[in-house]
Amino acid sequence: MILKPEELQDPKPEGDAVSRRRFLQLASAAAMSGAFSACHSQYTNTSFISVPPGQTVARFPEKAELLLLTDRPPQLETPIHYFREDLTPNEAFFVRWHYEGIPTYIDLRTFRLKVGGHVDKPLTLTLDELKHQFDATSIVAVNQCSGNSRSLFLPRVPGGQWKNGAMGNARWTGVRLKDLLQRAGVKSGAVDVSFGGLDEAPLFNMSKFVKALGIEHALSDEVLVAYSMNDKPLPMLNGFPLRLVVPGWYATYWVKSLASIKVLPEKFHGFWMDKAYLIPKNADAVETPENLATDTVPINKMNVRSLIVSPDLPDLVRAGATAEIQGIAFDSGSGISKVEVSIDGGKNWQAATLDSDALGKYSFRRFRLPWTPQSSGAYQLASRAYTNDGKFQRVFDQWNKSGYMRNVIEQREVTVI
Amino acid sequence: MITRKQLLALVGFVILGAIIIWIGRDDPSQRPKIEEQPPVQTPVTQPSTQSDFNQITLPHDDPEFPPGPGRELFLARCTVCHSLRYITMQPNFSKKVWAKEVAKMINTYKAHITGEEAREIINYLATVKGTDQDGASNSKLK
Repeated sequence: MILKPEELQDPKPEGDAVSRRRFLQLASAAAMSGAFSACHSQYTNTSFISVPPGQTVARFPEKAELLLLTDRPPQLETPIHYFREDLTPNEAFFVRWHYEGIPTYIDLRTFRLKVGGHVDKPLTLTLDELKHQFDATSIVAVNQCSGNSRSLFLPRVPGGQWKNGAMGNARWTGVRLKDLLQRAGVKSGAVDVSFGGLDEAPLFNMSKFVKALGIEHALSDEVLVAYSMNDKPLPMLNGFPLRLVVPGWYATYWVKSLASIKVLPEKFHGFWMDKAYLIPKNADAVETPENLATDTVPINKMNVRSLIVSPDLPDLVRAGATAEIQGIAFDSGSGISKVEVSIDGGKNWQAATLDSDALGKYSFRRFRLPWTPQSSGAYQLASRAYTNDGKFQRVFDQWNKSGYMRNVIEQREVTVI
Repeated sequence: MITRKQLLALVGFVILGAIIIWIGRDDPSQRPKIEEQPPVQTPVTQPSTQSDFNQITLPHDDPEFPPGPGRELFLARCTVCHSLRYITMQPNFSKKVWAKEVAKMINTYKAHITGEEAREIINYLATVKGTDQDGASNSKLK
Protein backbone atom coordinates (compact mmCIF):
# COMPACT_ATOMS: atom_id res chain seq x y z
CA MET A 1 0.00 0.00 0.00
CA ILE A 2 1.35 3.43 -0.94
CA LEU A 3 0.47 6.33 1.31
CA LYS A 4 0.39 9.74 -0.32
CA PRO A 5 1.96 12.58 1.68
CA GLU A 6 -1.01 14.84 0.86
CA GLU A 7 -3.37 12.35 2.39
CA LEU A 8 -1.34 12.20 5.55
CA GLN A 9 -1.49 15.89 6.27
CA ASP A 10 -5.16 16.33 6.98
CA PRO A 11 -6.26 14.80 10.21
CA LYS A 12 -9.15 12.41 9.75
CA PRO A 13 -12.52 13.72 10.89
CA GLU A 14 -12.54 12.66 14.50
CA GLY A 15 -16.17 12.06 15.29
CA ASP A 16 -17.13 8.80 16.87
CA ALA A 17 -13.75 7.42 15.92
CA VAL A 18 -11.98 9.24 18.75
CA SER A 19 -11.40 6.76 21.47
CA ARG A 20 -11.62 7.71 25.08
CA ARG A 21 -7.89 7.18 25.45
CA ARG A 22 -7.12 9.35 22.47
CA PHE A 23 -9.40 12.05 23.80
CA LEU A 24 -7.65 11.99 27.16
CA GLN A 25 -4.27 12.18 25.45
CA LEU A 26 -5.34 15.18 23.46
CA ALA A 27 -6.93 16.86 26.42
CA SER A 28 -3.99 16.37 28.73
CA ALA A 29 -1.48 17.43 26.10
CA ALA A 30 -3.56 20.48 25.38
CA ALA A 31 -3.69 21.32 29.03
CA MET A 32 0.08 21.05 29.29
CA SER A 33 1.00 23.02 26.24
CA GLY A 34 -1.89 25.40 26.06
CA ALA A 35 -2.22 24.57 22.38
CA PHE A 36 -5.14 22.47 21.43
CA SER A 37 -4.30 22.09 17.78
CA ALA A 38 -0.96 20.58 16.95
CA CYS A 39 -0.58 22.66 13.83
CA HIS A 40 -1.82 25.92 15.23
CA SER A 41 0.70 28.39 13.92
CA GLN A 42 1.36 30.54 16.99
CA TYR A 43 2.34 27.52 19.04
CA THR A 44 4.90 25.98 16.73
CA ASN A 45 8.50 25.50 17.77
CA THR A 46 8.13 26.91 21.25
CA SER A 47 8.44 23.59 22.99
CA PHE A 48 11.64 22.48 21.38
CA ILE A 49 14.01 24.50 23.48
CA SER A 50 14.88 21.39 25.48
CA VAL A 51 17.14 20.43 22.62
CA PRO A 52 20.19 22.57 23.13
CA PRO A 53 21.20 24.74 20.22
CA GLY A 54 24.68 24.46 18.83
CA GLN A 55 26.84 21.56 17.97
CA THR A 56 27.03 18.31 19.90
CA VAL A 57 30.32 16.48 19.85
CA ALA A 58 30.76 12.81 20.59
CA ARG A 59 33.52 10.32 20.99
CA PHE A 60 32.94 6.94 19.42
CA PRO A 61 35.24 3.90 19.58
CA GLU A 62 38.56 4.45 17.78
CA LYS A 63 37.49 8.02 17.10
CA ALA A 64 38.47 11.49 18.26
CA GLU A 65 35.83 14.04 19.26
CA LEU A 66 33.73 14.54 16.15
CA LEU A 67 30.59 16.49 15.39
CA LEU A 68 27.59 14.30 16.15
CA LEU A 69 24.80 14.11 13.60
CA THR A 70 23.21 10.87 14.73
CA ASP A 71 24.21 8.03 17.01
CA ARG A 72 22.09 5.15 15.68
CA PRO A 73 23.36 4.53 13.08
CA PRO A 74 26.43 6.66 13.71
CA GLN A 75 26.97 9.72 11.55
CA LEU A 76 29.95 11.78 12.62
CA GLU A 77 31.47 14.81 10.95
CA THR A 78 35.12 15.86 10.80
CA PRO A 79 35.84 19.29 12.31
CA ILE A 80 37.36 21.43 9.60
CA HIS A 81 40.68 22.08 11.34
CA TYR A 82 41.70 18.51 10.52
CA PHE A 83 41.91 19.55 6.88
CA ARG A 84 45.03 21.52 7.71
CA GLU A 85 46.74 18.18 7.29
CA ASP A 86 46.91 16.62 3.84
CA LEU A 87 45.94 13.18 5.13
CA THR A 88 42.94 13.13 7.45
CA PRO A 89 43.77 11.05 10.54
CA ASN A 90 41.77 7.83 10.85
CA GLU A 91 40.42 8.85 14.23
CA ALA A 92 39.07 12.09 12.75
CA PHE A 93 37.68 10.62 9.53
CA PHE A 94 33.93 11.19 9.07
CA VAL A 95 31.48 8.33 9.60
CA ARG A 96 28.26 7.63 7.78
CA TRP A 97 26.18 4.45 7.89
CA HIS A 98 22.70 3.96 6.49
CA TYR A 99 21.19 1.39 8.82
CA GLU A 100 21.53 0.77 12.53
CA GLY A 101 22.63 -2.84 12.00
CA ILE A 102 26.31 -2.08 11.55
CA PRO A 103 29.10 -4.55 12.34
CA THR A 104 30.51 -4.00 15.82
CA TYR A 105 32.35 -7.29 16.06
CA ILE A 106 34.66 -8.88 13.52
CA ASP A 107 36.40 -12.21 14.00
CA LEU A 108 39.01 -12.52 11.29
CA ARG A 109 39.08 -16.29 11.70
CA THR A 110 35.57 -16.44 10.31
CA PHE A 111 35.49 -13.32 8.16
CA ARG A 112 35.47 -14.08 4.41
CA LEU A 113 35.33 -11.95 1.31
CA LYS A 114 33.28 -13.69 -1.35
CA VAL A 115 33.70 -13.01 -5.04
CA GLY A 116 31.04 -14.72 -7.10
CA GLY A 117 28.21 -14.42 -9.57
CA HIS A 118 28.96 -14.45 -13.26
CA VAL A 119 32.51 -15.88 -12.85
CA ASP A 120 34.30 -19.13 -13.67
CA LYS A 121 35.47 -19.96 -10.15
CA PRO A 122 34.00 -18.11 -7.18
CA LEU A 123 36.50 -17.06 -4.49
CA THR A 124 36.21 -17.16 -0.73
CA LEU A 125 39.12 -15.32 0.86
CA THR A 126 40.32 -14.62 4.36
CA LEU A 127 41.95 -11.28 5.07
CA ASP A 128 45.34 -13.02 5.24
CA GLU A 129 44.83 -14.65 1.85
CA LEU A 130 43.85 -11.32 0.40
CA LYS A 131 47.00 -9.73 1.81
CA HIS A 132 49.39 -12.49 0.78
CA GLN A 133 48.04 -13.84 -2.49
CA PHE A 134 47.62 -10.51 -4.26
CA ASP A 135 49.86 -7.53 -4.92
CA ALA A 136 49.32 -4.60 -2.61
CA THR A 137 48.79 -1.19 -4.09
CA SER A 138 48.21 2.24 -2.56
CA ILE A 139 46.40 5.37 -3.62
CA VAL A 140 45.70 8.66 -1.89
CA ALA A 141 42.12 9.66 -2.54
CA VAL A 142 39.40 11.92 -1.21
CA ASN A 143 36.37 10.15 0.19
CA GLN A 144 33.43 12.56 0.18
CA CYS A 145 29.81 11.94 1.11
CA SER A 146 27.31 12.73 -1.65
CA GLY A 147 25.51 14.98 0.80
CA ASN A 148 28.54 16.85 2.12
CA SER A 149 27.54 20.45 2.94
CA ARG A 150 23.84 19.60 2.62
CA SER A 151 22.97 21.96 5.48
CA LEU A 152 24.14 24.89 3.31
CA PHE A 153 21.47 24.40 0.65
CA LEU A 154 18.63 26.93 0.61
CA PRO A 155 15.80 26.15 0.86
CA ARG A 156 16.94 23.58 3.40
CA VAL A 157 16.46 19.94 2.47
CA PRO A 158 15.87 16.91 4.70
CA GLY A 159 18.72 14.47 5.22
CA GLY A 160 21.99 14.32 7.11
CA GLN A 161 22.68 17.96 7.98
CA TRP A 162 26.38 17.98 7.17
CA LYS A 163 28.49 21.07 7.10
CA ASN A 164 31.72 20.78 5.10
CA GLY A 165 33.23 17.91 7.07
CA ALA A 166 31.65 14.83 5.47
CA MET A 167 34.88 14.18 3.65
CA GLY A 168 38.46 13.15 4.23
CA ASN A 169 41.66 12.33 2.39
CA ALA A 170 43.56 9.12 3.12
CA ARG A 171 46.12 6.73 1.75
CA TRP A 172 44.25 3.54 0.94
CA THR A 173 46.15 0.30 0.59
CA GLY A 174 44.77 -2.98 -0.59
CA VAL A 175 44.40 -5.16 -3.64
CA ARG A 176 43.10 -4.14 -7.01
CA LEU A 177 39.52 -5.18 -7.57
CA LYS A 178 40.64 -6.06 -11.08
CA ASP A 179 43.06 -8.67 -9.72
CA LEU A 180 40.32 -10.32 -7.67
CA LEU A 181 37.93 -10.37 -10.61
CA GLN A 182 40.58 -11.78 -12.93
CA ARG A 183 41.43 -14.52 -10.42
CA ALA A 184 37.75 -15.42 -10.28
CA GLY A 185 37.52 -15.25 -14.06
CA VAL A 186 34.83 -12.88 -15.29
CA LYS A 187 32.62 -14.64 -17.83
CA SER A 188 31.79 -12.94 -21.07
CA GLY A 189 28.66 -10.84 -21.01
CA ALA A 190 29.33 -9.33 -17.56
CA VAL A 191 27.61 -5.96 -17.16
CA ASP A 192 27.76 -4.80 -13.54
CA VAL A 193 29.53 -5.71 -10.33
CA SER A 194 27.65 -5.30 -7.04
CA PHE A 195 29.13 -4.78 -3.58
CA GLY A 196 27.60 -5.64 -0.23
CA GLY A 197 28.90 -5.11 3.30
CA LEU A 198 28.16 -6.65 6.67
CA ASP A 199 25.65 -3.96 7.59
CA GLU A 200 22.03 -5.07 7.70
CA ALA A 201 18.68 -3.32 7.38
CA PRO A 202 16.66 -3.12 10.62
CA LEU A 203 13.48 -4.54 9.07
CA PHE A 204 13.30 -7.66 6.96
CA ASN A 205 11.59 -5.99 4.00
CA MET A 206 14.06 -3.11 3.71
CA SER A 207 16.65 -3.29 0.96
CA LYS A 208 20.14 -4.22 2.02
CA PHE A 209 22.70 -1.53 1.27
CA VAL A 210 24.26 -2.74 -1.99
CA LYS A 211 25.98 -0.59 -4.61
CA ALA A 212 27.18 -1.40 -8.11
CA LEU A 213 29.76 -0.29 -10.67
CA GLY A 214 29.85 -1.01 -14.38
CA ILE A 215 32.18 -3.89 -15.32
CA GLU A 216 34.63 -1.61 -17.14
CA HIS A 217 34.96 0.63 -14.15
CA ALA A 218 35.35 -2.39 -11.86
CA LEU A 219 38.17 -3.69 -14.06
CA SER A 220 40.03 -0.37 -14.11
CA ASP A 221 43.36 -0.07 -12.29
CA GLU A 222 42.22 2.35 -9.64
CA VAL A 223 39.39 0.60 -7.83
CA LEU A 224 40.74 -1.12 -4.72
CA VAL A 225 39.60 -3.44 -1.99
CA ALA A 226 41.44 -1.71 0.84
CA TYR A 227 42.50 -3.24 4.15
CA SER A 228 44.55 -0.29 5.24
CA MET A 229 43.87 3.39 5.72
CA ASN A 230 46.84 5.70 6.30
CA ASP A 231 48.97 2.58 6.88
CA LYS A 232 46.76 1.30 9.70
CA PRO A 233 43.81 -1.07 9.73
CA LEU A 234 40.52 0.69 9.05
CA PRO A 235 38.60 1.77 12.14
CA MET A 236 35.46 -0.34 12.61
CA LEU A 237 33.32 2.70 11.88
CA ASN A 238 35.13 3.28 8.58
CA GLY A 239 34.66 -0.28 7.38
CA PHE A 240 37.07 -2.69 9.09
CA PRO A 241 38.36 -5.03 7.77
CA LEU A 242 37.76 -4.18 4.08
CA ARG A 243 36.41 -1.26 2.17
CA LEU A 244 35.88 -0.61 -1.50
CA VAL A 245 37.86 2.40 -2.72
CA VAL A 246 36.53 4.16 -5.81
CA PRO A 247 38.79 7.17 -6.43
CA GLY A 248 37.03 10.22 -7.80
CA TRP A 249 33.57 8.85 -7.03
CA TYR A 250 31.33 9.79 -4.13
CA ALA A 251 31.67 7.82 -0.91
CA THR A 252 28.35 6.03 -1.36
CA TYR A 253 30.21 3.60 -3.64
CA TRP A 254 32.99 2.97 -1.11
CA VAL A 255 31.13 0.07 0.52
CA LYS A 256 32.29 -0.53 4.10
CA SER A 257 32.90 -3.88 5.80
CA LEU A 258 32.88 -5.27 2.27
CA ALA A 259 32.06 -8.99 2.28
CA SER A 260 30.41 -9.77 -1.03
CA ILE A 261 31.38 -8.94 -4.60
CA LYS A 262 29.07 -10.22 -7.29
CA VAL A 263 29.58 -10.07 -11.04
CA LEU A 264 26.29 -9.72 -12.89
CA PRO A 265 25.35 -10.57 -16.47
CA GLU A 266 22.76 -7.78 -16.41
CA LYS A 267 22.28 -4.27 -15.07
CA PHE A 268 22.03 -4.16 -11.26
CA HIS A 269 18.66 -2.91 -10.04
CA GLY A 270 18.84 -2.60 -6.27
CA PHE A 271 17.06 0.08 -4.28
CA TRP A 272 20.31 1.88 -3.44
CA MET A 273 21.14 2.33 -7.13
CA ASP A 274 17.67 2.74 -8.64
CA LYS A 275 15.81 4.76 -6.03
CA ALA A 276 18.36 6.38 -3.73
CA TYR A 277 21.37 8.56 -4.50
CA LEU A 278 19.86 9.85 -7.73
CA ILE A 279 20.79 13.25 -9.12
CA PRO A 280 19.20 15.43 -11.80
CA LYS A 281 20.81 14.52 -15.11
CA ASN A 282 22.70 17.74 -15.77
CA ALA A 283 26.25 18.96 -15.17
CA ASP A 284 25.69 20.52 -11.75
CA ALA A 285 22.85 18.30 -10.54
CA VAL A 286 20.51 21.28 -10.42
CA GLU A 287 16.74 21.48 -10.10
CA THR A 288 14.31 23.82 -8.35
CA PRO A 289 11.64 23.07 -5.74
CA GLU A 290 9.00 24.18 -8.25
CA ASN A 291 10.49 22.23 -11.13
CA LEU A 292 11.99 18.97 -9.93
CA ALA A 293 14.03 17.01 -12.44
CA THR A 294 12.26 14.05 -13.99
CA ASP A 295 15.39 12.76 -15.69
CA THR A 296 17.73 11.39 -13.03
CA VAL A 297 20.86 9.23 -12.90
CA PRO A 298 22.78 7.55 -10.08
CA ILE A 299 25.29 9.95 -8.52
CA ASN A 300 28.81 9.19 -9.75
CA LYS A 301 31.95 11.35 -10.09
CA MET A 302 32.67 14.20 -7.72
CA ASN A 303 32.60 17.74 -9.01
CA VAL A 304 35.36 20.24 -8.30
CA ARG A 305 35.46 21.88 -4.87
CA SER A 306 37.72 24.04 -2.76
CA LEU A 307 37.54 25.09 0.83
CA ILE A 308 39.50 27.61 2.89
CA VAL A 309 40.61 25.95 6.13
CA SER A 310 42.72 28.74 7.56
CA PRO A 311 42.41 31.33 8.97
CA ASP A 312 39.49 30.13 11.02
CA LEU A 313 38.41 30.58 14.61
CA PRO A 314 40.29 30.82 16.90
CA ASP A 315 43.03 32.23 14.68
CA LEU A 316 43.74 35.90 15.18
CA VAL A 317 44.52 37.95 12.10
CA ARG A 318 46.06 41.35 12.80
CA ALA A 319 45.97 44.35 10.53
CA GLY A 320 49.42 44.97 9.06
CA ALA A 321 50.67 41.47 9.84
CA THR A 322 50.99 38.73 7.26
CA ALA A 323 48.75 35.72 7.61
CA GLU A 324 48.41 32.78 5.30
CA ILE A 325 45.15 31.91 3.62
CA GLN A 326 45.22 28.16 3.17
CA GLY A 327 42.81 25.64 1.80
CA ILE A 328 42.24 22.43 -0.07
CA ALA A 329 40.92 21.68 -3.55
CA PHE A 330 40.01 18.46 -5.29
CA ASP A 331 37.97 17.01 -8.12
CA SER A 332 37.29 13.58 -9.53
CA GLY A 333 40.82 13.00 -10.81
CA SER A 334 41.46 15.37 -13.67
CA GLY A 335 43.57 17.35 -11.20
CA ILE A 336 43.56 20.93 -9.98
CA SER A 337 45.11 23.44 -12.38
CA LYS A 338 44.55 26.67 -10.48
CA VAL A 339 42.94 28.06 -7.35
CA GLU A 340 42.01 31.69 -6.90
CA VAL A 341 41.30 33.45 -3.64
CA SER A 342 39.19 36.51 -2.92
CA ILE A 343 39.25 38.60 0.26
CA ASP A 344 36.34 40.81 -0.75
CA GLY A 345 33.52 38.35 -1.23
CA GLY A 346 34.32 37.52 -4.84
CA LYS A 347 34.83 40.97 -6.39
CA ASN A 348 38.55 40.53 -6.98
CA TRP A 349 40.52 37.33 -7.32
CA GLN A 350 44.19 36.44 -7.14
CA ALA A 351 45.94 33.19 -7.87
CA ALA A 352 47.09 31.13 -4.90
CA THR A 353 50.16 28.91 -5.03
CA LEU A 354 49.56 25.19 -5.15
CA ASP A 355 51.52 22.70 -3.06
CA SER A 356 53.15 19.79 -4.86
CA ASP A 357 50.85 17.25 -6.44
CA ALA A 358 52.97 14.42 -5.07
CA LEU A 359 49.97 12.79 -3.37
CA GLY A 360 48.32 12.24 -6.72
CA LYS A 361 45.39 13.52 -8.70
CA TYR A 362 42.72 12.10 -6.37
CA SER A 363 44.14 13.76 -3.25
CA PHE A 364 43.44 17.07 -1.58
CA ARG A 365 45.63 19.69 -3.25
CA ARG A 366 46.67 22.43 -0.88
CA PHE A 367 46.70 26.08 -1.88
CA ARG A 368 48.21 29.03 -0.06
CA LEU A 369 48.17 32.79 -0.35
CA PRO A 370 50.02 35.24 1.91
CA TRP A 371 47.66 37.93 3.11
CA THR A 372 48.49 41.22 4.80
CA PRO A 373 45.24 43.01 5.58
CA GLN A 374 45.82 46.72 5.86
CA SER A 375 42.92 47.55 8.14
CA SER A 376 40.79 45.85 10.75
CA GLY A 377 37.24 44.75 10.09
CA ALA A 378 35.33 41.89 8.52
CA TYR A 379 36.62 40.26 5.33
CA GLN A 380 34.77 37.81 3.14
CA LEU A 381 37.23 35.13 2.10
CA ALA A 382 36.40 32.84 -0.79
CA SER A 383 38.19 30.39 -3.06
CA ARG A 384 37.47 28.90 -6.44
CA ALA A 385 39.23 25.97 -8.05
CA TYR A 386 39.82 25.09 -11.71
CA THR A 387 40.51 21.62 -13.06
CA ASN A 388 42.73 20.31 -15.82
CA ASP A 389 39.65 19.36 -17.80
CA GLY A 390 38.28 22.88 -17.80
CA LYS A 391 35.76 22.77 -14.93
CA PHE A 392 35.59 25.40 -12.22
CA GLN A 393 33.50 26.54 -9.30
CA ARG A 394 30.87 29.21 -9.71
CA VAL A 395 28.42 31.25 -7.71
CA PHE A 396 24.96 30.11 -8.65
CA ASP A 397 21.75 28.81 -7.19
CA GLN A 398 22.81 25.24 -6.91
CA TRP A 399 19.98 23.28 -5.38
CA ASN A 400 18.53 19.80 -5.57
CA LYS A 401 16.00 18.11 -3.32
CA SER A 402 18.48 15.60 -1.92
CA GLY A 403 21.25 18.09 -1.17
CA TYR A 404 23.91 16.37 -3.26
CA MET A 405 27.10 17.50 -5.01
CA ARG A 406 27.34 20.96 -3.53
CA ASN A 407 30.27 22.80 -5.09
CA VAL A 408 29.43 26.48 -5.20
CA ILE A 409 32.10 28.96 -4.09
CA GLU A 410 32.02 28.95 -0.29
CA GLN A 411 32.58 32.15 1.65
CA ARG A 412 34.04 32.54 5.09
CA GLU A 413 33.99 35.72 7.14
CA VAL A 414 37.18 36.55 8.99
CA THR A 415 37.52 39.43 11.42
CA VAL A 416 40.82 41.25 11.37
CA ILE A 417 41.75 43.01 14.60
CA MET B 1 -11.34 -14.86 54.09
CA ILE B 2 -8.18 -15.51 52.19
CA THR B 3 -6.42 -18.71 52.92
CA ARG B 4 -2.82 -19.04 54.05
CA LYS B 5 -1.95 -20.39 50.60
CA GLN B 6 -3.49 -17.39 48.86
CA LEU B 7 -1.66 -15.03 51.20
CA LEU B 8 1.67 -16.71 50.46
CA ALA B 9 1.01 -16.51 46.74
CA LEU B 10 0.13 -12.85 47.08
CA VAL B 11 3.30 -12.08 49.03
CA GLY B 12 5.27 -14.02 46.42
CA PHE B 13 3.79 -11.98 43.60
CA VAL B 14 4.53 -8.72 45.39
CA ILE B 15 8.17 -9.72 45.91
CA LEU B 16 8.51 -10.88 42.31
CA GLY B 17 6.99 -7.63 41.10
CA ALA B 18 9.39 -5.62 43.23
CA ILE B 19 12.33 -7.55 41.78
CA ILE B 20 11.13 -6.97 38.22
CA ILE B 21 10.64 -3.25 38.86
CA TRP B 22 14.09 -3.03 40.45
CA ILE B 23 15.78 -4.78 37.53
CA GLY B 24 13.89 -2.78 34.95
CA ARG B 25 14.36 0.59 36.63
CA ASP B 26 15.73 3.40 34.54
CA ASP B 27 18.58 4.83 36.54
CA PRO B 28 19.71 8.05 34.80
CA SER B 29 23.17 7.70 36.34
CA GLN B 30 23.60 4.41 34.49
CA ARG B 31 22.85 5.84 31.06
CA PRO B 32 25.85 6.36 28.81
CA LYS B 33 26.60 10.02 28.43
CA ILE B 34 27.81 11.22 25.09
CA GLU B 35 28.61 14.81 25.74
CA GLU B 36 30.23 14.71 29.13
CA GLN B 37 33.29 12.70 28.33
CA PRO B 38 36.53 14.54 29.01
CA PRO B 39 38.57 15.55 26.00
CA VAL B 40 41.46 13.22 25.36
CA GLN B 41 44.59 14.23 23.52
CA THR B 42 45.48 10.90 21.96
CA PRO B 43 42.18 9.09 21.85
CA VAL B 44 43.00 6.37 19.40
CA THR B 45 42.65 2.73 20.19
CA GLN B 46 43.57 1.29 16.85
CA PRO B 47 42.56 -2.26 16.17
CA SER B 48 45.61 -4.39 16.61
CA THR B 49 46.84 -6.12 13.49
CA GLN B 50 47.93 -8.99 15.69
CA SER B 51 44.46 -9.71 16.95
CA ASP B 52 41.88 -11.84 15.24
CA PHE B 53 39.15 -9.76 16.82
CA ASN B 54 37.95 -6.25 16.60
CA GLN B 55 35.02 -5.22 18.69
CA ILE B 56 33.48 -1.87 19.57
CA THR B 57 30.61 -0.78 21.76
CA LEU B 58 28.58 2.09 20.41
CA PRO B 59 27.53 4.88 22.75
CA HIS B 60 23.90 5.86 22.62
CA ASP B 61 22.06 8.80 24.08
CA ASP B 62 18.77 9.89 22.59
CA PRO B 63 17.59 13.46 23.13
CA GLU B 64 14.40 14.27 25.05
CA PHE B 65 11.29 15.26 23.16
CA PRO B 66 8.63 17.54 24.59
CA PRO B 67 5.19 16.26 25.59
CA GLY B 68 2.35 16.65 23.15
CA PRO B 69 -0.20 14.64 21.19
CA GLY B 70 1.54 11.97 19.15
CA ARG B 71 4.76 11.95 21.14
CA GLU B 72 4.49 8.35 22.34
CA LEU B 73 3.58 7.08 18.90
CA PHE B 74 6.42 9.08 17.38
CA LEU B 75 8.89 7.58 19.87
CA ALA B 76 7.59 4.06 19.43
CA ARG B 77 7.51 3.98 15.64
CA CYS B 78 10.53 6.07 14.67
CA THR B 79 13.04 4.57 17.09
CA VAL B 80 12.46 1.10 15.67
CA CYS B 81 14.98 2.00 12.98
CA HIS B 82 16.87 5.09 14.00
CA SER B 83 17.93 7.49 16.68
CA LEU B 84 15.78 10.52 17.45
CA ARG B 85 18.76 12.62 16.51
CA TYR B 86 17.62 12.12 12.92
CA ILE B 87 14.86 14.54 13.82
CA THR B 88 16.74 16.92 16.11
CA MET B 89 19.44 17.47 13.50
CA GLN B 90 16.93 18.61 10.86
CA PRO B 91 16.04 22.25 10.41
CA ASN B 92 12.41 23.19 10.95
CA PHE B 93 10.26 22.01 8.10
CA SER B 94 6.70 22.67 6.98
CA LYS B 95 4.08 20.04 7.65
CA LYS B 96 4.16 19.31 3.93
CA VAL B 97 7.84 18.33 4.11
CA TRP B 98 7.33 16.27 7.26
CA ALA B 99 4.45 14.46 5.56
CA LYS B 100 6.77 13.64 2.66
CA GLU B 101 9.43 12.37 5.01
CA VAL B 102 7.05 10.13 6.97
CA ALA B 103 5.54 8.87 3.72
CA LYS B 104 9.08 8.08 2.53
CA MET B 105 9.74 6.08 5.68
CA ILE B 106 6.58 4.06 5.08
CA ASN B 107 6.59 3.67 1.31
CA THR B 108 10.30 3.49 0.62
CA TYR B 109 11.76 2.05 3.80
CA LYS B 110 8.74 -0.07 4.70
CA ALA B 111 8.33 1.29 8.21
CA HIS B 112 5.45 -0.39 10.02
CA ILE B 113 3.22 2.65 10.45
CA THR B 114 -0.45 2.89 9.53
CA GLY B 115 -1.96 5.90 7.81
CA GLU B 116 -3.74 6.99 10.97
CA GLU B 117 -0.57 6.71 13.01
CA ALA B 118 1.33 8.61 10.35
CA ARG B 119 -1.08 11.57 10.63
CA GLU B 120 -0.52 11.72 14.36
CA ILE B 121 3.26 11.53 13.97
CA ILE B 122 3.27 14.20 11.27
CA ASN B 123 1.22 16.52 13.46
CA TYR B 124 3.66 15.99 16.30
CA LEU B 125 6.69 16.66 14.05
CA ALA B 126 5.02 19.78 12.67
CA THR B 127 4.54 20.96 16.24
CA VAL B 128 8.03 20.40 17.55
CA LYS B 129 10.02 21.01 14.34
CA GLY B 130 7.58 22.95 12.17
CA THR B 131 7.54 26.23 10.34
CA ASP B 132 5.13 29.07 10.94
CA GLN B 133 3.36 28.90 7.65
CA ASP B 134 2.37 25.47 6.60
CA GLY B 135 3.78 24.73 3.19
CA ALA B 136 5.74 27.97 2.98
CA SER B 137 9.30 27.99 1.78
CA ASN B 138 11.88 27.26 4.43
CA SER B 139 14.35 29.61 2.87
CA LYS B 140 13.91 32.17 5.60
CA LEU B 141 15.22 29.71 8.11
CA LYS B 142 18.91 29.56 8.71
